[in-house]
Amino acid sequence: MTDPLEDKIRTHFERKTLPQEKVASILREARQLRRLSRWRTATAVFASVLVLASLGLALWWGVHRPAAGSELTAQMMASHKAHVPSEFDIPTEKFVALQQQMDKLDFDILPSEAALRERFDIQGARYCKVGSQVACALTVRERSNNKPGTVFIARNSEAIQQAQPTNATSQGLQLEYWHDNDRFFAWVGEINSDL
Amino acid sequence: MNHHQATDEDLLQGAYRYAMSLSGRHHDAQDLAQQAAFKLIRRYGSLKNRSLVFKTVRNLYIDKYRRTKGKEVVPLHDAELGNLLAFESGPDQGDKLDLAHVLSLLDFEERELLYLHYVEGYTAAEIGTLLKTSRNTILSRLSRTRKKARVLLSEPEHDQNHSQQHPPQSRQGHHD
Repeated sequence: MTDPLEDKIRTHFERKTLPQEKVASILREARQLRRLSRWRTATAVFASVLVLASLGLALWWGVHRPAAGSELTAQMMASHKAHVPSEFDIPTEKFVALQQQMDKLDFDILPSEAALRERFDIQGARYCKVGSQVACALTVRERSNNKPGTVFIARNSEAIQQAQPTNATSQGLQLEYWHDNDRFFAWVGEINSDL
Repeated sequence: MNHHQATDEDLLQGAYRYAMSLSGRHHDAQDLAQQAAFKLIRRYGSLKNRSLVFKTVRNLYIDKYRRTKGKEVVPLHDAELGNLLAFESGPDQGDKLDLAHVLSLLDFEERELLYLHYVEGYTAAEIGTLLKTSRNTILSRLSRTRKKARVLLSEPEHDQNHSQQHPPQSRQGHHD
């Protein structure tokens, strides 16, 4: 025996249908949205990969930047150690005289701060290389403690600019870098020199 | 119960009917069915199966109409309010206005129970699974709702145990 309520309810709801065109249009739109969504996802994934790659590159660059400075450090330490104090291209004790005589240099070697000019007694100068550039190496003694050392002066280049201003020690040597306008200065001296 | 593989078209019609049982309004039901289709096809590429479609429609209904527009699903126990809302019966309204009116006086959970049981052929246990409610609760609510609908339709009581264990024959398979 059939329940009349059941029949009525079933008939009532079974009469409710969406027009076929509407069904087709909803499904078509839903599928288009899926395709669009997949494109968006793919684009987002691609963008994320790109961002991660950029971050990785930036990180790598950050890690390798000091290495460029390290190469300069090694080069200057070697130059400092290899130098025989009596062999100078220009044996002079004055910055101004050096400036005039080191005519292979296309930059001013005079430090812009008087304090720096007063810091060292110059014994002589020679040409050298800092990075791949022609530079000058001054053999100096610090006036305050008579400690011997070498002051390297070079024109700032892209590679040299990577060497951040620093004060450090390495292999028994003290290192000090700084930039002075368009020039790079480095002082290298023995940590424990017998003066 | 049919075990045929329902097409997306069948499932979308099912979603619409189920949404009609919840909202009682053609436009709302169409909107719910459409949103469910968008959501499921975007995620799975198809509407998958009837159970998932119903869950999605129900969640959308709860989210959209109960939480954010609570006023729209205030149970229609009040006959006057029921008349005002004039439960829609779609393009082929026919001679079912009496039942439509009675359905408008039920709340959405009662209409949903009647729909799932009588139209979809779900057992109390299956409805319980879908609605996360115990079978016994579903049985007692179904019994109360049937009684209420009969009273409103001024129909005599039918066999009370008729559908407690054995659901009515459904034309819709729901084990897709």
